[in-house]
Amino acid sequence: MRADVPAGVEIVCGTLPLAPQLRPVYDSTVIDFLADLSEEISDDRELNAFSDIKAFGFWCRRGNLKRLAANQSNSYRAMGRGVVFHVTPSNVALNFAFSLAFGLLAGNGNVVRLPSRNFMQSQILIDMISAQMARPKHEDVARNICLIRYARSDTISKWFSAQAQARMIWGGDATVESFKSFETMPRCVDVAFPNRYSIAVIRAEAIEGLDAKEMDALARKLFLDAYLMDQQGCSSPQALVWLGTGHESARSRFWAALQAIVQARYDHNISTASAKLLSLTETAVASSLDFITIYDDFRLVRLAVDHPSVDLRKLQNRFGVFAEFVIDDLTDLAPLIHEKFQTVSVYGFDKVDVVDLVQSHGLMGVDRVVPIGRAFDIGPIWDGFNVVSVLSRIIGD
Amino acid sequence: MPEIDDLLKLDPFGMTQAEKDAWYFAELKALTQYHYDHCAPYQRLLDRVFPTSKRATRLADLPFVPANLFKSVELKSFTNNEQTTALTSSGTSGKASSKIFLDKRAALLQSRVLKQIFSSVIARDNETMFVVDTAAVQGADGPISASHAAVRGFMPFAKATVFLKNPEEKLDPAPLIEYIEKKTGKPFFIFGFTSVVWTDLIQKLVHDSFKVPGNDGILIHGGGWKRMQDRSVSRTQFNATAKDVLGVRAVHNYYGMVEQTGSVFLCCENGYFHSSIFSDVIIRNAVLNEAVIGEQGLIQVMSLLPKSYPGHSILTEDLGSLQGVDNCLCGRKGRYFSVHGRAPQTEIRGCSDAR
Repeated sequence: MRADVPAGVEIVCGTLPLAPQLRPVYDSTVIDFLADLSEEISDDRELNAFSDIKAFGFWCRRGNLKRLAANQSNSYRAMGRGVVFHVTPSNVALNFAFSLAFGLLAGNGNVVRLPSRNFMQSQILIDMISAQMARPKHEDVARNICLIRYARSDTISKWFSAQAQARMIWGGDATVESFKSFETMPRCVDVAFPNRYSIAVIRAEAIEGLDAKEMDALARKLFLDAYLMDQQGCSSPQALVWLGTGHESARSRFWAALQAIVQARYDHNISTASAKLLSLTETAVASSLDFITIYDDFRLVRLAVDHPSVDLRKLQNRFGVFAEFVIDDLTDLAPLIHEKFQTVSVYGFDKVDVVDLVQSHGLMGVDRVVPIGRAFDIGPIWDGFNVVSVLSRIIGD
Repeated sequence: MPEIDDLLKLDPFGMTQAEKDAWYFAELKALTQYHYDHCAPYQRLLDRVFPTSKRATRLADLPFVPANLFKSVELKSFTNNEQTTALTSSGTSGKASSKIFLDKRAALLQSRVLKQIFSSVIARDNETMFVVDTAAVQGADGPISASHAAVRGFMPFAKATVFLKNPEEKLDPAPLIEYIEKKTGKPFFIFGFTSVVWTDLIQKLVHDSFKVPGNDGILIHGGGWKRMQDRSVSRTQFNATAKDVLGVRAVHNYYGMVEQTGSVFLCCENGYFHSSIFSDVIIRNAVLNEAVIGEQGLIQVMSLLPKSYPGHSILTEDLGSLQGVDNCLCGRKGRYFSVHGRAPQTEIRGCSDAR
């Protein structure tokens, strides 16, 4: 990297310009670094209040990284491409840490632009990463990390973009569009994460036999997927699709269970209500789909959709508003799936059925199928990419 | 059901809530149906978001439109060949402004209703209205600003209108002081937007250590406390400073918005806002249910006036609480409430923002 670092860049940890030491993918030095971080996190009981830090720590435990390494194809040898420039979303506290981990595991040097909003969780994890970087045993890995902050500046973004061998561009359509307009080197690889649309599908018959406790457990999983990020994550379900007609009373029990959880656990305040109604009315005025809004308690709103079409993706809402409809057969989903579709979370049937549907219909949408409750489980395979593979280069078999 | 013309003959604050309920709900329901029949986006909104409202049996069951929807969607209840004037909100905080469409009849009606509402606090035959703004507020062609609409609404109260700011936005209080020193004994009033009156008139005079001699004038101001709230200025402080510096006899605040120009909520001497026979108010809590007396929530305002656009029932982003019904010490009947400022913005979450 060039030495003329532009003014306005705050180095949070590491040094600029970065002089990366390229490594093979899933190199043991990187696994050691992340596994040490993981141990620190799991040993620190004070962190129990931060479920997202705990989740990151659990993800980068040695066993999981070794498993991921083993899953990576062994038929060829791969290593890092150079410097990865990561642009992380300002509103998700720990996304930067996963992005960094993918870049490290791919064998690269990493410049990570941290979220502009200073979350407590981000700061705690940044401090823990710094502490690991300062240990002599991690000296080599530390050379591959630089965390920075800067106020929105095209000049600075262009400076880093021009020198990157790869870019991880989080942050939705507007950010992706803006960064794609900056000049990069001819071989620079971009992994871009634009806006997406996600749904949940439940086989109605499968919840018929659930007792109160099991129903509550299922509702709790959907609650986390949807409400954890105010339904604004790319993998947060926007619609709940019932596979199979009938089973009305079981469905009502499910909604009632979800409503109870939302009432107990979700901070639905006056500002939420105001923003939610605005988004809902804007959707209603603009939508080509007919629907009826149903709610007993405004914390949980359902939009009963009459004849769903590919415009379903435009019923995008916030703070707990679910488009709802019934399909007879999974193939009924095919005409609704647009390339914007990302995650389909499922319950009561094999997720392979959805994968089969997407393949057999040659659909451009759906890049993830997971069980309900796992919408936010992030890993190197995300949004249709094996990120570690994309960020590395194959040198030979 | 009474015609607006009949209502204009009545004391706007003289009807108990029970007397008003007897006809007001039906009137507003009919108005809702009118807009449903004449405004396609509004029809979609009602069919989709308020599907049960056609069976409404009380005011709180009727649909309400979030005020900000007027910023993103053009809502009008007439065909394009009718002559109308577009009215735009001042758009605080540099955001998009609301756009609403008025026909001639509506503008005239707004003015008459405003006059009726203020008849209990200011004289009908004022000599002069001093406006804390530039004459440019009167504008020329194109959309009319909310400030202009308000000034225009108050013009019929006085024989002459004098603007206290020169075209360069600089305050020139000389005409006001000259008028007071002449001691004509004829009534006058000063009018302006709350934040402008505070910053450009009161604070300016305080800064220059100048006090207008004691007089028989009245200060009328409205347009929201958002900026006052940002500057941590309380009503008591505002009123006391205004009386001290401007020497006026009384200060009257009102609560109103561009979507319901005319049918404003008058602030009484006890600091409460009153709905008139032209308007009504409901406070909605965090799940949009009707709040009980004293409970804080979003202020929903209703008005019989909006005919050319569906602005007759609006959920504002302002926080308020109902203080009582029919029993304010000022003697005005109906529902009265307090305004606590703008609801805080929700934090944006999710992955789609990295700038």
